[in-house]
Amino acid sequence: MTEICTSSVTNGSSINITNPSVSFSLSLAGLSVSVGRGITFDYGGSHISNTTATIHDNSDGNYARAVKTALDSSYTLKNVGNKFYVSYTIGEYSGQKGLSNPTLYFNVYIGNELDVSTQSTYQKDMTQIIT
Amino acid sequence: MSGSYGEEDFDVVANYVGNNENGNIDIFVGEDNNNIFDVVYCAIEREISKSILYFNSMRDEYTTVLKLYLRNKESGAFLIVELFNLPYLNITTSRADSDVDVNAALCWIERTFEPVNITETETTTRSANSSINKTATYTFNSFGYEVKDYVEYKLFWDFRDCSRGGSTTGNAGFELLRRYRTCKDYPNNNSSTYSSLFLYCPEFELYTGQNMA
Repeated sequence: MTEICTSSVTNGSSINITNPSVSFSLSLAGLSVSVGRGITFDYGGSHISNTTATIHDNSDGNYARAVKTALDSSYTLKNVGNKFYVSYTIGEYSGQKGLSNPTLYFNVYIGNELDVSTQSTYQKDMTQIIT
Repeated sequence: MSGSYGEEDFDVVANYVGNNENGNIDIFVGEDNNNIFDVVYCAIEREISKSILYFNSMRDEYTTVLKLYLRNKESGAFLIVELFNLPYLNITTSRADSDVDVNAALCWIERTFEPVNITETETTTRSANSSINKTATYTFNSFGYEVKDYVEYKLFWDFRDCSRGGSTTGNAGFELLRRYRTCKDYPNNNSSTYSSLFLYCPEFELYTGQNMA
């Protein structure tokens, strides 16, 4: 159950930390943001979440859960307090040792707080029964 | 305002947009009716000892200036007009433009030229924190003086351990903290709340360790 957790944040320069002893920890990689330059821009229109999200399909059988998400390029963080974030819950419904079919859950919430009219969240339940 | 340079005439009509943070600059947005020039910047500035000027030697003699900076649509050449010692204009028009529009009009250097330098610094350390603050700085050259645009933002993450049979929550993301704009030599056009910089295309890859089950 013990995993090595390596987190990295890349934005121009690369930074790495290593936490050598954690369990069920999460890593963050490829956290990047671009700095753009512009004068006027409009959010425009209603929307649901303005994100794209790709879920790891576990095709390699390593039971890792992963989500890759990005804010739509037409949306920007330009006002103080604007956010783009991911929150998650992770755990087991039945994690007792010896159970044959433990159920893992990993719920991801992707949200943005760009201004009052463009706050939104997106939820993906990645619950999986391990067989 | 009408005039000519060489064989090219301009006939500019400009509308009042608003004034800047310290109240010394009334900014206008205009067009050349002859369609020869783009109106890059049009403003009336007071206390010009704090202003960036093309005709620098006039700084000590006068207190006000009307600036009209035009760019030829075809050649890209600039026509710089600075009229000094204007009588005080009592502008009574109530503006409907937002502060963003006003500041955007004020940022003519950023709109017109590429930055001469770009830096990115971390303003907090990562060792004991679950976040870092970063500042991106774009430096522009305005008639030989540095104008710096800043954006400060936070990258945050909160990873927690989860024991077998238990559960946990966490989060990670970006937050914009501050934008501002300075010229240390001539601060008339400084802004404590605005710069031409913003953040776009944030993206995440969030994943568990392998074989977590």
